[in-house]
Amino acid sequence: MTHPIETSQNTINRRFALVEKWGTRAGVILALVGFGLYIFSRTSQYVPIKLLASHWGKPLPQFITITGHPLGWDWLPLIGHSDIIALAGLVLLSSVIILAYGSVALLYLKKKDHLYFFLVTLQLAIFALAASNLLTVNH
Amino acid sequence: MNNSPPTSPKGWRFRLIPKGGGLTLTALLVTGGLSWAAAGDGDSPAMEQIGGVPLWVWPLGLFVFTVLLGVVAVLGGIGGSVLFVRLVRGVLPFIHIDFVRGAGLMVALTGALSAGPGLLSKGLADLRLAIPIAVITSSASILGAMIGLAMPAQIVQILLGVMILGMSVFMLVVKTAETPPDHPPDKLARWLAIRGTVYDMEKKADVVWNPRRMGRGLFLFIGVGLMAGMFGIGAGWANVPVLNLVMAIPLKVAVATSYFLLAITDTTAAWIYLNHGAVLPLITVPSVLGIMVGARFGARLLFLARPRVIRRVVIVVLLLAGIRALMKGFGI
Repeated sequence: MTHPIETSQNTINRRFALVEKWGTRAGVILALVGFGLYIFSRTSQYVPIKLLASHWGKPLPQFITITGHPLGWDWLPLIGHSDIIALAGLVLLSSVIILAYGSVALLYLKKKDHLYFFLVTLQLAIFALAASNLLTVNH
Repeated sequence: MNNSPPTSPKGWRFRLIPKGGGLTLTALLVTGGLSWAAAGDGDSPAMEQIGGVPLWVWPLGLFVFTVLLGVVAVLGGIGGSVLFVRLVRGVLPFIHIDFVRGAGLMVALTGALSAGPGLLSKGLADLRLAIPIAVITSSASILGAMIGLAMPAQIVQILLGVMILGMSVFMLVVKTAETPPDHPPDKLARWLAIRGTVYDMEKKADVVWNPRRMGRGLFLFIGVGLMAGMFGIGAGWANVPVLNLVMAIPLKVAVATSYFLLAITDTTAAWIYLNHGAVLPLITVPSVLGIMVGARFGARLLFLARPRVIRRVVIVVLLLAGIRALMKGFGI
């Protein structure tokens, strides 16, 4: 006998797994392309490798002041630079689970599972808070 | 990505390259490219001298190191980020710990993301169980990441040492239960409609499992989330005992759901590190690729290695790493 919750769970699990699989692949490929350009081409670097490696032992605030490494979403307008493309790949990897949650939220709503729709929405709000750069830390 | 190991050592021998083809090819391209840059005319950024050696040595070294780490992590049954943070700090002490923790988080996240789809498709990871727990752990990991980034590096070193020592002792003494005894679900589990089935090897049949002590389990996950954020680790070693021993989830489901939880906790903490500029692609990208390749090799080597022996080796390495972190924290 198949329990109705288990059946709907299978559909939701499959949707989640699909988004997770392809999102991870896309993130890794983008990060690798950016990394390759960063290592092999001097012209497209936003933070030159030499500058970065000269200061990567310093505490974060000092490192940021010296190198200009982007904070929060400041990387977005700089996307033409190789190191920023690699960073975008890592940002995509950090977004895969958020995308997967977004994709199953509607499925829970469609199946009238209001409790889990609420929990998934709450989780998305937590992710948004973490990604928003509203939470700052004083060193 | 198919993470399932082959059925025999013979199969392993023939399928090692084709099964992990894309990833192995990419790895070969990266290492080949770095070598090509090294043999070039000296104008490539890869030939810049950093710390007395050409730059290409650092990412290549990190890649090779994380491949080995990925193999050991799978064989030892751990995520690998704790070893990553501690050992990379040992090998590359001139890189600030914030950047190493940022890379460690991305390493743990990518490992969990790679394993996730297979575990969900096979029905081992339970989304319905993981979703309420994830709300708790991810909130706590935001707080943990902020505390970790705000604390002086020396204090983080000391706490990291204490945590690693505690973790190795925990791994030595804790016992897990393959299939906990049958029991009715508790109130919270009934309200959330969490239940499932898993194949029992001894009974040779599917058995129904129900969570219990959900409230106590959720409370313990606050501590797990705090640690994950604070130290840039996955804390899978803590997830499994809470799920299995406290909430009575069968071991297979607990391990698979733990991987799923790691991806969620690490996602939240990774965003805090990204927003603070603590994720450097130069360190993180080769490490992420290395751990993915290593984990694939590790999964295939499981047939040839003796996991119990490997696990003991991992515990000894962790003990040494914990002592080293403590000494460093105290300025010894």
